[in-house]
Amino acid sequence: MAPKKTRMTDARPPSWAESLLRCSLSRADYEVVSGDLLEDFQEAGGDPGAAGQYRRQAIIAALRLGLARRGLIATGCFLVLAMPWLAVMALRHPPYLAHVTVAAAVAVNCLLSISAMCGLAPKSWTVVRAGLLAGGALGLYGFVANLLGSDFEGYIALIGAALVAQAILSLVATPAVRVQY
Amino acid sequence: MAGSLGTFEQAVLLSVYRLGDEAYGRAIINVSAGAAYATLARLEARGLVSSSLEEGAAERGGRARRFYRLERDGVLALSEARTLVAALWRGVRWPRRKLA
Repeated sequence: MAPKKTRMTDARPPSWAESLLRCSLSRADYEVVSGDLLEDFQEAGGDPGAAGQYRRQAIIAALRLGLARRGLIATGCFLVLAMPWLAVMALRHPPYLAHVTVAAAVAVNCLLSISAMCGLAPKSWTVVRAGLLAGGALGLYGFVANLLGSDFEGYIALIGAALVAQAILSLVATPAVRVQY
Repeated sequence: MAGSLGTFEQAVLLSVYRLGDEAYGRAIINVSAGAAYATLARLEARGLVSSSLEEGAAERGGRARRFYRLERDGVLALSEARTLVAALWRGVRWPRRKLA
């Protein structure tokens, strides 16, 4: 199927949807996705139905290709910074070595997930995602156990919530790939 | 082993193969851009396809097109998927009875 010749109209796609794509996607992704959506919009004649379709597609693309990746990078950065703190706090509770090992493994996996989202090591993504899901399960357990326990510790709740959020985002996000020009 | 492929991934890879030099985003598969590009990014991360950016035409405001190419691992993955489906259907009489 060759690309179809598109009928040009004077209508413009919704500006806020364009802005959403521009703000949420990388420059290369923005060009490619907004270009494809613009072609669809032009082909549909630029009527209100086409504008609605453009808005829907823009939201889905922003969520899947932009916001999920950025969310994963943000939670990854937070957890990389939080893990040394967790390891130090774990020295109050045995078994120390197990706690420190888990903190180190989570930090390494977060760094790998950040690199996959930046297009540096996308091939390892399946393994990294399995680690993020395991981390999410651990975070959920820690979060609930902390809530139900006698001593509520805010930092455990925060780290547990971040691990769960990271696991959920890993189901939606796809690794970025370096683009050849 | 190139790894297992989902049905949608097979459809995308086959479409890239069929389109040859014309395989770019919206031409490949007519679903939401988010779903198509997320799948293509996943396939590219696995080394099954590769992509390059090329200058866009006037109807897309000059914005770049990303063209995809099937890689050797992609061909292997598609071959494995095809063999698997053929093996699943081998010896099955379908439909079992004539439909009314």
